This record gives sequence, C-alpha cells and structure tokens, in this order.
Amino acid sequence: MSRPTPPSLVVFKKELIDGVRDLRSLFSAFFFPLLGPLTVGLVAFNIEKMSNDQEVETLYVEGAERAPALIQRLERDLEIKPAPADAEQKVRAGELSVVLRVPEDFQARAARGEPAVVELISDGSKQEHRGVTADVEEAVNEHSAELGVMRLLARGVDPALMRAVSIDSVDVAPPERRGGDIVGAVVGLFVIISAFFCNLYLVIDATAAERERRSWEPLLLTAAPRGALVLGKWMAGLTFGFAGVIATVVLTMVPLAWLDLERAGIRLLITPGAVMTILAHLLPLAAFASAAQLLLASLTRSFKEAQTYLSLTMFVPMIPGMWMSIDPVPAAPWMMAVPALAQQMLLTRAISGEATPISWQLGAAASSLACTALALWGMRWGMGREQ
Amino acid sequence: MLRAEGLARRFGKVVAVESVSFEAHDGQITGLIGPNGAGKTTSLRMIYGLVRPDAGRAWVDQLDPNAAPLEARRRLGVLPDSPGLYARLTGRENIRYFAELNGIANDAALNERIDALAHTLDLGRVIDRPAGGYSQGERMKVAIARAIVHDPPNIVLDEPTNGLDVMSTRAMRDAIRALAAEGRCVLFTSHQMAEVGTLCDRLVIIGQGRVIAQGTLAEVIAQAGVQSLEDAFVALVGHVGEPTEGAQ
Repeated sequence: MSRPTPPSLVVFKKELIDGVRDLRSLFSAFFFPLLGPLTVGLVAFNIEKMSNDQEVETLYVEGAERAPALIQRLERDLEIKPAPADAEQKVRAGELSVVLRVPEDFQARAARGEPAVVELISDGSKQEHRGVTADVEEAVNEHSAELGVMRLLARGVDPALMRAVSIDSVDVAPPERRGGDIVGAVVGLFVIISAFFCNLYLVIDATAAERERRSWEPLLLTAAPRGALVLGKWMAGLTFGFAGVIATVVLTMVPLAWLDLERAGIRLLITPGAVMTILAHLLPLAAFASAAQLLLASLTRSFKEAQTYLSLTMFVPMIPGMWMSIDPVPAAPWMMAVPALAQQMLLTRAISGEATPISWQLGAAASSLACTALALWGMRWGMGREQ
Repeated sequence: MLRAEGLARRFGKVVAVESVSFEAHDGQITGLIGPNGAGKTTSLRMIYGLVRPDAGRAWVDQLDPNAAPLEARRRLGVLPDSPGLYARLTGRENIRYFAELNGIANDAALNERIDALAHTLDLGRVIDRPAGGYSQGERMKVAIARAIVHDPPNIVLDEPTNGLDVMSTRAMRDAIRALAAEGRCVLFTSHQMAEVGTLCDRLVIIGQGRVIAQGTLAEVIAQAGVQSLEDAFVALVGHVGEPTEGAQ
C-alpha cells in the first residue's frame, strides 16, 4: 500500500487543478497584468523613436542667403533646406514642420546695429517639433550673443558686464538613473498588480466561493487539520500569483532589452542575473499577496462580496508604484519593512543597476514573510471560531 | 456510537439548543426529527465539533470531538444539509479529494473503493463526468459517497433524501440500510415521517432545543397515545409550542 499524501499537498493539488480548469477566470486573471509588458514596450518604443528622430530633423529656411553666419551655426544641429513659396500655409496644413524666415531687411538692420528679426513659424500644438524650435532658439540666442559681444568689444566695453548672474547647473545623476527610475516604477507597478491579481479568482474560489457552494462545511469535517487546509490553499494562490509575476517580468524585459534606450539617455541593467534577482525579490511579495487575500476572502460569505473587497484593497499595494512613476523618491531603510513598497524600491534599483545593501534585501524578504505568516495564522484562527 | 449528553448552545440571545441528550447505537439507524428551527442541525454540529457547546458533552465512539477533533472526524462521515460539490472536478475526483484529506492513499485500492460505492449508489458512468452537470440526485449520491469513502464507523446524514425522485430515494434508503447492516452507527434527519417510520430502528424527537421523546417507533407512538408517527410527532411537538424564532 502506498503512503497517503500530506493533506496540505492534497489541497494544493486540488486547488491548482480546479483553478487551471476554470479557463475563463484564468484568462481574465492573466490578461490584465500582461497588458503591462505591452504598455511598457509601447512607452519604450516611443522614447526610442523620438530619440532617433532627433538626428534627422529638418529646418526649412526662407532667405538663407541673407544670414550666412546664422545658417552656418544652425547647420551644426539641423539639416537646412530651402523653404517653398507658401511656407506659412504649409506649416498650418502640417506639410512642413518648422520654417525660419529671414526678412529682406535683416542685413541692413544688422549693419545699422539695430535688433535684426527672424521669424520662426511652427505649430506649437505639435510636441514632436519642440526639439527643432528649441534648437533654433538656442542657435539664434548664441549667434545674437556672439554678435553682441563683438559690438561691445568694438566699442571698448567688457562684455562680461552684460552678464550679471549666470547659472552653472550640476546634475549629479548618471543619465541611466533618471530614466531608470521611471521605467522601474512603471514595471514595478505592473508586477505588483500581477502578484495580487493573477491569484485573485483562485483565492476567492478557495474561500468565499467554498461557503457559497456549501462545500466549506464538508471540508472542515474531514480529518485534515485546519492549518493544512490554509497551507494548501495558500500554496496554490502563491503558485498562480508567482506565475503571473514571472510572466510579467520576463515579458516586460523582452521589449526593454530589445529596444535601444541608451540613445534616449536610459540605461537599464537587463541581464539574466538581474532578472533572477528581481524574481527573488518578488517571491516574498507573491507569498504575502496570496496570504493577505486569502485572509480577507475568508472573512466574506460570497464570491461577489469577496471580489468587491479584494479589488478595492488591491489599490493599496499599487499606490507606491503610482507615486513613484510620477515622483520618484529615494529609497529609505524603513520602506523595506512595508510589503509591496519594499519590492517596488528593490526592483527599481535592480533594473537601473544600483546596488542595494544586502541587509535591505534580507529585511524586505523577512518583513514580507512575517506578514505572510501573520495573515495565514489569522485565517487559521478565524476558521477555529467557525460556527 | 454517537452520544450527546446535556448539549446546550445559544447564539447571542437566541437559545438554539437548550438540552439535548440521546444515543445512537452501532448497527442501528437512528432518526432525528423535529420541526424547522428545533435545534437539530446545531445539535449535530456540536457532535461534529464544528460548534462548541456552552454546556454538555458529545462523544464519537469514545472520543470528545472538541478534545480530539481529528481522530473524532476520522471516525465520522457526514452529509451536511445541501452539501456542495466542486463543479469543475468529476464525481470521482470530488470523492478522491475527501478520501485523501481523510488520510487515505491515492492508489488502486482507493479507485476500487470508489467504483464499489458508485455501484452501490447506482451512479454508473456519471462518476467520471464533471459535477457541474449533475442532477440533484446524482449530486446527493456523490456527496454520500464522499462522506463515507473513508469507511467511517459513524455516519450522520442530514436530510439525505431531500429533493430526490422516487428511484433515487429508494436507492438511498437501500444504501442507508446496508450501512447499518455492516455494523455502523447511522444517524439521520428527515422531514418525511413515512421514511423515518420505515427506516429507523430508534427515534429521537427534538422540539424547541430539547429532546421530547426517544425510543423505538412503537415506544414513541405509545408515549403520545396515538395511532401513527405523524400524529405522535404533532402531539409531542405541539406540547412545547412554537419553536424559537431564528434558531437553527
């Protein structure tokens, strides 16, 4: 005779089979988090496209022959092409991007020492032309300043008198970190959603729905210890949640690794080792997500009630990710004690290649696992008070 | 053997069970009857160890279900009122799940045991179809098989013939008789007096949280001084008036 399977494994196996057979729920559970990689890929693709476009920007100039020195300066950043006749009309129609018009009296005014005017024609509502207009403004300002300096010198005045205050800004952040923080925050947000969302149906089905279909009491009347029931259901929820996390992380890394974001000033550390580190950070979070949701769902009496409460509380772990994607704040040690927030921070640092103290990493795991144990104990305690 | 001694339980201000004492012997079918809200289900739950009594004790064989819950439950097979199955599992998988939870190895012997139960309960090939498509009768039969698959010496059936058609009811009654004939202690509740009369060796009538009468069918009828069990039931339960509101 073979030996009986431990009851926790029996429950685990049954919940997995039951969960996998529920195809509709399985599909909706995994569909939403997998939108994450798609979103991240699209955002990254656009960033890359914009940074590539900047190299071939064209400026159409009317009357280039009247300001050779200025045009020479502009040719450093832009490709200069002569503007067609009705240039302003064409910009309005969206056929031309940006046009610079040098009026006929440009040289005459410059010779007299009066401010010479150039017209910059663009459609201000079009984001993609901002780069060109900024380049032109910078070139014109520089050119103007050069001319001014020469005029002052010709009159024997020190040009430094013109500059009362000047700014010299020092940005200490390496370029990869600035972009990495935002990308990390967005990736983290979707990963955390998947940890809480992919096991949602399974967790509710294993608790509130058991009551609703009236299989809960027969289950409690078997000789399996209550703790084993809790453990088996938790393991099944963890499996689904972590499967969702792995799928989200791996699928998100593919477009990020494939696209060349360095040109856009974003350097990400996407190596198999970094992915493994990220997954190791996220396992305790998936453990916590499964336990916390089981506890909550076990307090409710029906599928609908559980679904309502759980989808409301799911916003809580999402808050750090949302915040970070708008306003990245530096990680602090206390954050490691808060599940979801800790993993958000660890993930962002791992993805942007920033080293995190090992004590932080262990602290985050220990805190999440302690919260997991507390939630499971709470659920077991609640089952003991069953009426 | 199942035994209750002075069981009492209240929920808030509602007295569900005031004082219930009875015995159900091995090899016999004991019927537990009473009007809705009389305290039958609460009394049974105290015997299972699902509800802790405020006073009194219960025994499953020699075991106190509150002191040794796992051992007591292993010696107990329960069909609760309107039991639920897992719709996406087949009948066989539903039964096997509960067998394994009761510490039985998932091997060829278990499969043979499930086949034998399916045969006894006249389930046929239905047992390998998903439970979501079962009729009320098929659901009830699988739930019974699930309750007794671990071969428990004590069996509690809470309204096992509820909602069954004539053929299924007959199959169920035969199965219940067979269980008692094997020497098991069978305790069951029903609302159908005719069924209780033909099936039970002993009767326990509960009303308003108390045992009003118990004994063989003849003894109970004699105690009430009437001609039939139904008359006896009405006469005895009528004595204690209307059941307490909300008590289950």
